[in-house]
Amino acid sequence: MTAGQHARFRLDEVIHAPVRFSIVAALAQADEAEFAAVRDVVQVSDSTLSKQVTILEAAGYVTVKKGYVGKRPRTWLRLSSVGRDALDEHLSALRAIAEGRPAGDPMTREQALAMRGSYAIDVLPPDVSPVDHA
Amino acid sequence: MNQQITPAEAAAALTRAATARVVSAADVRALTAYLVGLGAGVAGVLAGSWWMLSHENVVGFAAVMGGYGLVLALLIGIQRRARSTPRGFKRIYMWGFGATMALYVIGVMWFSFTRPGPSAAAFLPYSLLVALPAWIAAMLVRRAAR
Repeated sequence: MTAGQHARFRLDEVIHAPVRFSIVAALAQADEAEFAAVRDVVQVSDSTLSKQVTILEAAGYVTVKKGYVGKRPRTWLRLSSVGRDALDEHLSALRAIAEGRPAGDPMTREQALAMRGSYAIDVLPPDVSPVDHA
Repeated sequence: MNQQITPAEAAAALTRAATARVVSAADVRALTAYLVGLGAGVAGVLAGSWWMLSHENVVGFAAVMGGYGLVLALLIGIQRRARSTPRGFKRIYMWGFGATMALYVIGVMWFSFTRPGPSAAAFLPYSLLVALPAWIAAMLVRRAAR
């Protein structure tokens, strides 16, 4: 990022879409997951998930493996290292925006102290309840 | 790219990312049960083989191996119920299973190539030791899923 450039320019265009963000965030916690498990967590239809996974696969962010468990066909999804790096960068940009550091400047001591503890709760502005986003 | 996003939206997205969980409690239960069972099964087959072969009971030895095959089939069935694996599972599994199998091979060599064979006081605790890496792996999988 160029010095002084707004953090929104670092947001990843592929990951920024809400459904794709949810897919990538869910896969970040796992080695791999079945297509159906991701579908249930993200709460989308098979066709929607399939379409979004195709986009993520084309970007090199997700790898798709097809196989069988017994006689039943199964599809497993995995976040690639490229996808993991892209997510980390995207989350870093989101943090900078949420913390009010749009230019990605280092936090002041006061900001760092305010950030201690649970990040997800602490970064919420006073008018936003964490429950609304759970 | 020039995405418009407010600090509140960014915070909400971060919360979504922090709470996204594809690995369920049922997945973790299946994977840990598989590893605990695998450790116990390998320990059991080692102790059983030693006992049967040291008493020259070939039929008993065949029964032990057959029983292990059945237990293994059951465990694979349990493991397949997991729809996802927590991050690091493959590495933890390879370490735990590999170490248990290495100790198993050492145990087989111990009772096969030493005369007189090991005593029960020495070999039964060793059989439990064989299970330990798989059981530790089960604990690490549980921790990785938190």
